[in-house]
Amino acid sequence: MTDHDHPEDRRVRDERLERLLDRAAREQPSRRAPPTLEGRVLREIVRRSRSSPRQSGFTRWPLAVRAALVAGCCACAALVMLAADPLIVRWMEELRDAREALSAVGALVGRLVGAIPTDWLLGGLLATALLYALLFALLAVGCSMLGIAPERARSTPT
Amino acid sequence: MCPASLRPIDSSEFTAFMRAYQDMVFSTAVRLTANEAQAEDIAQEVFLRAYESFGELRASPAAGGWLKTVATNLTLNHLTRYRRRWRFFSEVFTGDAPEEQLESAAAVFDEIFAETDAEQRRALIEQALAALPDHQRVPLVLYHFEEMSYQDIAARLRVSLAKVKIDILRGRLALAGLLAQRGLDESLAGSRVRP
Repeated sequence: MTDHDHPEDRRVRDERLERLLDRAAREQPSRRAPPTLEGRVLREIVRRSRSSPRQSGFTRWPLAVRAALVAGCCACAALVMLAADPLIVRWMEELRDAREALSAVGALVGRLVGAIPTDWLLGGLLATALLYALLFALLAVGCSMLGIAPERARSTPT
Repeated sequence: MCPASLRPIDSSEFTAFMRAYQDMVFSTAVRLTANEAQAEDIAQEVFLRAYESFGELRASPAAGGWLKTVATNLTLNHLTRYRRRWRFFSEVFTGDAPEEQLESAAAVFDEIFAETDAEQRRALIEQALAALPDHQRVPLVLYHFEEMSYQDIAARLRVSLAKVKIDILRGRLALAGLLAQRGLDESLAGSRVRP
């Protein structure tokens, strides 16, 4: 905005320009559709009506066929579940055995860890962290000595 | 008596329906895309969808509105890839237009209305609209031709309200500039515009 722009004057000019555009739009008749459009649409309708249901998507199949397919799939799933019931029971038992075995191992590990003094545990964790820090520091020094620079992110937006 | 929605579709009835609305549908698509081939593809898709719903549309007084809405939505979906470009340009070029530009733009439209006949004016405006960049033309057409509100346009294009207003204002100024240039070209050529 310049020093000479008054908000009210500007608003009036904006509204005047808008009214002129509105008038131009109201008076603008529709563009004539190309003569080929009608033929294209009708040919496509005929083509789609002649294509077999298998060639079109599931949503275009007759409702009765879709309902029968869904019911059939549900019936098959129920049959499979019934047939597999003994198998499922056995799998559940094996899962329970595996869970018990894992619990036993976990309890053993817990007892072993519990037997270690707390100071030793904390000291070990601290030593591990320091060793990792030293490793990364050595890596950084080595890279800088060899002149290997890390990849930089692009600074300009795409 | 069989309800309209359940009667089998008569091809002549659908053809008559299509002829009644094809200009409106095509106009909506071509003003937004500024590309006649793309607009024809979109118009075809609109009428194919109308055929699938013709049972309900054939007797509905809102058929025209339905067709216009579907045409607008399909066209905007087609133009979706330009959305990032709209946001970019609107972010880079910010600020209000100088007041003298607004005044001269209004003067151009006054001159267009005063000194051209309807046929000339129609052709000039269509040519100038097609020459606008997408990020100005689309919101301008949605506001002035499709009569959508700023808020609806912002929601539909997924840009901010301020950007819609800036793009529409700049679109108006650019349209005026193109009309003025075309008017000057025509007067230099000494010929009248033919549709």
